[in-house]
Amino acid sequence: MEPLLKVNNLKVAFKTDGGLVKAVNDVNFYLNEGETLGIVGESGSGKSVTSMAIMRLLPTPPAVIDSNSQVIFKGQNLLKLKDDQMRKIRGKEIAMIFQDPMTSLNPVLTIGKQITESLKLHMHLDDRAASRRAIELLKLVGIPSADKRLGDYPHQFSGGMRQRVMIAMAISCDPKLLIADEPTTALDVTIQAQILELLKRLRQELGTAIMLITHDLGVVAGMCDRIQVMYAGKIVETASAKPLYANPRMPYTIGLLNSIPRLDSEGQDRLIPIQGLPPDMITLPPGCPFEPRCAYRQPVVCQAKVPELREVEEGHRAACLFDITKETPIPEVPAPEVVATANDVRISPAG
Amino acid sequence: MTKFIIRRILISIPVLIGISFLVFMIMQLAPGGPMAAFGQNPRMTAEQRATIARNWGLDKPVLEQYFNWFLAMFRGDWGTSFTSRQPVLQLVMERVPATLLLMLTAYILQQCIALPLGIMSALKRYSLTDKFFTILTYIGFSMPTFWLGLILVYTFSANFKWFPSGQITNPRDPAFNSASYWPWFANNPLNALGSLGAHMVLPIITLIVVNVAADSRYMRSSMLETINQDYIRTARAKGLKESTIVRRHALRPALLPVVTNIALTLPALLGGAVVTETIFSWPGMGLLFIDSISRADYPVMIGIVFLLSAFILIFNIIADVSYAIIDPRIRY
Repeated sequence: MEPLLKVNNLKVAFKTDGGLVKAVNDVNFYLNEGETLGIVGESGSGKSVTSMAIMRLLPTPPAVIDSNSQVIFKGQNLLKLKDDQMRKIRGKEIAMIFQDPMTSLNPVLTIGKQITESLKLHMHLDDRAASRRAIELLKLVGIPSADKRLGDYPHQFSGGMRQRVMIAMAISCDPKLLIADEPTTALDVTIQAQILELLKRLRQELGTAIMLITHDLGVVAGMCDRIQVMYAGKIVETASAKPLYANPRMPYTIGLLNSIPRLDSEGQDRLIPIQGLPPDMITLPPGCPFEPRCAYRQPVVCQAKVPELREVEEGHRAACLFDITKETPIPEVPAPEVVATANDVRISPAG
Repeated sequence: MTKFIIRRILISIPVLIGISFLVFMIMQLAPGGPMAAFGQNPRMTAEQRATIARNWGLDKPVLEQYFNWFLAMFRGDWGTSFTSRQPVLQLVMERVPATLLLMLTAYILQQCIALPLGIMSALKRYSLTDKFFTILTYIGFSMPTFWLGLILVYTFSANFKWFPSGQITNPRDPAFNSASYWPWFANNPLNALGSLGAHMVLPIITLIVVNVAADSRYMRSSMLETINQDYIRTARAKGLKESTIVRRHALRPALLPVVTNIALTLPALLGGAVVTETIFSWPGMGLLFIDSISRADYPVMIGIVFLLSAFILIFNIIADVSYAIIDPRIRY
């Protein structure tokens, strides 16, 4: 079966005064109908840029999308669509939830108006039908006395409630794909859990495919069918959720998992942080971008060749030249700590 | 909302009283004082001066003078002009229509040009159009009003003879707002309107060039800030058209910081018209004010200053209220 979304050779760069920031470097992935895909990575790894590129929400310039890149959604390449055709996809076929619900809702419009406007635009509902549907949606996302709250403004809602409103807006036109870009990052932990529960429930009820972008491995764990890890604008490991957590094969993923506290850990294991900083996205190294920070590095080999994603077991691919697992002993000589110089710290787009 | 407006108006009453006190006292501090108009007259004896002072209450303590003036003003008696012997209120009111006509036209035109210009520049940032208007606004912004007015008169009136150089009516027509003006206006409406328009062109350009430049810059930067907000990205993600996004999502938030500026330019125009009205001999309040100063006509001076202060106060209220209308987060 043809997947719902297929991203081929996606390359996105940003023109800045310091040079070309290569935010996304040749990313390939797919997403099936009804599937939930987690994209994990630290700030600047290119995960948000990837999602914005799919929605074509990146301002061009400064963003430059490579002409060979393809975003195939339901058989058509979104990157080649005309603006007005793309507008029919946005909000209707693919909807998006953003990180900060405090700033993502328009402060001077009532939430009723903000929810109904996409209903009127895409579903051609009249005022009354749109309001009725908006109330249904608010009920669906768990906002109490929904019918009385349509006339309220965003500042009259709490952060978690606002994210619920954002979700209601996003699912209003029954999209095939929901892109959630760090939907819980700006919320506190108890609310995070509620929002994730809500997304899970909606996925079951509506059958929407979800692309969940986060920097938090814990968030995607209980939620996603498949997970892919991004580093320096590349996908470095991808697998179904279970194998990825049980048997990570890329040193970066191993490092990420080692830096998370575990409830079931015995004794008083110290958390092991990943040393150093992500590479400068303007002048990417010729070899593995993770090499300077890698605990298992073998400089001569790793600096010479960019590792491609390769199958390490069925349905599990990792971008490492070596067969490394959690059990691989860390070499005696620890990786020297990379000292950040002013050159390393450059402005790169969020993500 | 109604409660807020009423409260806002009630609060402004003591402010207005305070202003009247300050205005009165500042006038007392001016060199010569109210009797200056008579001080230089060599044919007037000291006794005559004393009589005038006594008749007009100018020999009383300053505070008492103030209270008398304030109470009288409250009753509609703004005093009598020292020079024309006419009641001040009547003098001022005769001049109000000419000033309002010029200023309101200038004001409306100014907003109609400045706001769209600023919005367009912001939406097409760094384009050729934006750069062109940026240069133009900097030139306009650095243009002194008195100089611009004179250059306009020199070029378009003296050289090209396209527009009259001053006044509000042609010399042979009845004087503006006089007893015979309005019947004449009713008989030749096209003629009269055309003449009014022709007389207004140069003063209006003089008045608005600087303001258009400044306001369009405000609008541009405010729109730029708004268009990069997260909620605009949300609106784009909904699949709305760019024009709908600007109109429905960006315009109101972008207007917020500009509103105070918009509301307060009108009183500034009314007060700042002194230079323009003088250059173009426009028979409005500004010209009356300059005349009253040069003749040390204290009652007229105080009257006009007080009227302008009241205007500014009123437009401050309007600014506050429109703020609350545009931004639902503001509730008083």
